[in-house]
Amino acid sequence: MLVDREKCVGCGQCVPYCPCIAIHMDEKKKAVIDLERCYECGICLLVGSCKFDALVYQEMSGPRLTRYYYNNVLVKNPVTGMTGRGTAEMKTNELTNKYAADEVGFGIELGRPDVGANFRDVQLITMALAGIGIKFDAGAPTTLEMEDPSLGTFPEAILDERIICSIVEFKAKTTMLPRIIDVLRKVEQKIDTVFSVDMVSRAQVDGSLPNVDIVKSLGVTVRPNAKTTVGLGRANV
Amino acid sequence: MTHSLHREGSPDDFYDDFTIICMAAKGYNDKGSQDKLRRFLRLAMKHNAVNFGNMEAGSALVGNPEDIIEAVHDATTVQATFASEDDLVHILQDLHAEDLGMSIVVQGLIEKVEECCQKADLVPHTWNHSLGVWGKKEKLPPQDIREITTMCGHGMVSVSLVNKMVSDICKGKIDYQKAAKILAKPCICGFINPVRAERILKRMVEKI
Repeated sequence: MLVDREKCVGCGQCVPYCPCIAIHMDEKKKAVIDLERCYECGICLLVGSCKFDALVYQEMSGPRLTRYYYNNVLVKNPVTGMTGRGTAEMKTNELTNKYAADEVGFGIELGRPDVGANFRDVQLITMALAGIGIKFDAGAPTTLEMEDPSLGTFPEAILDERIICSIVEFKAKTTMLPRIIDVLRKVEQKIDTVFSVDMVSRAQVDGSLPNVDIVKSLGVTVRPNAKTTVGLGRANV
Repeated sequence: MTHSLHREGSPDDFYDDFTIICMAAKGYNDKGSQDKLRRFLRLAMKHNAVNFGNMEAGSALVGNPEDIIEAVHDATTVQATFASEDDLVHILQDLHAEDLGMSIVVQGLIEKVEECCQKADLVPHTWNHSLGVWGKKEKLPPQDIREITTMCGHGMVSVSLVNKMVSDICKGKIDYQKAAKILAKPCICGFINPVRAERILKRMVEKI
């Protein structure tokens, strides 16, 4: 994102909307965008913060485009063919049966909340998970960016691209849960950002959720709020 | 995308915060889903949704609700936010009765979601639980701020904007209601709950 200095009147209205504090006012009272920090999310423009059309998308190519596709939620990523950073995960599970009752699904959301990340951070986690045999969701945007999903590696050129969030999606047999949690605990000691962890569990016939019991027994805190699909897509129970 | 998960707050703070996502499954029932998705948004309006939207047309708190409904097409993901347990129960009952055949995903305090599902004679099929934030947590902004920013799962509501709203309220430039509306602008999906946002802002201002 760039500022057209001819059009900028120095009102500063755009500044607080930036999620990565990339916009500041210079000594001439014109808005300036730090392109190294800028996520290219376009939110400063999308909210209409500038009444003078001074915010403009720059021409982008190569790795910069990856940053743009990941962070601008309105843009369809040509690599993945979809908008956004994740799949439908469990939201339609009553139809897709993506997650079975003896499996656990995970979304590891690098950079979320409020901190951001880069693909080097993502790779730290994906390589560690690949090391215990995790197979990443082949349809997930983060997997599609990988150079070698079997190793969890990304192209060198995009490793330092800044992202608001990248979601590492995979599923495994429930028996793998302790090993997965162990990997996450080790990586969290080394990583230079935060990550939010989602865990998907299909309810057993009696409604119980063994995955939740297992992670609690491992000392993991489960938040009091969660989301559930209630089977109205015409349930296949 | 898990944009309705990971809303932060204490259990006491979620009594007026529920979201619903309505969507078709690609390759299963997405063709011809437009009218069903629009119907969901009409039901959300009927049952007092405090915000709703779709990613392509923005949120009702900022834009024109009719434009948002009109912009829905096959396979659009639509969502709505509710500030009352009763409203959640009533829309779930209607959705069950109308049998739109769209996937419905409810987010909220687990015990309340279970109760509401039971009242609508619905059975949770698959859950997505938040195991919280891991890693370098010292980089996080304060809890109060996160309770607002995490309502937008895409991370588009900035910490700076929350701070500015608090500052502008303190200076008497805007009231809580206006501040909540401004905070909703970057959250294109319609997941910002203005009722809860106002309450958190009041708490933040009282601390100053």
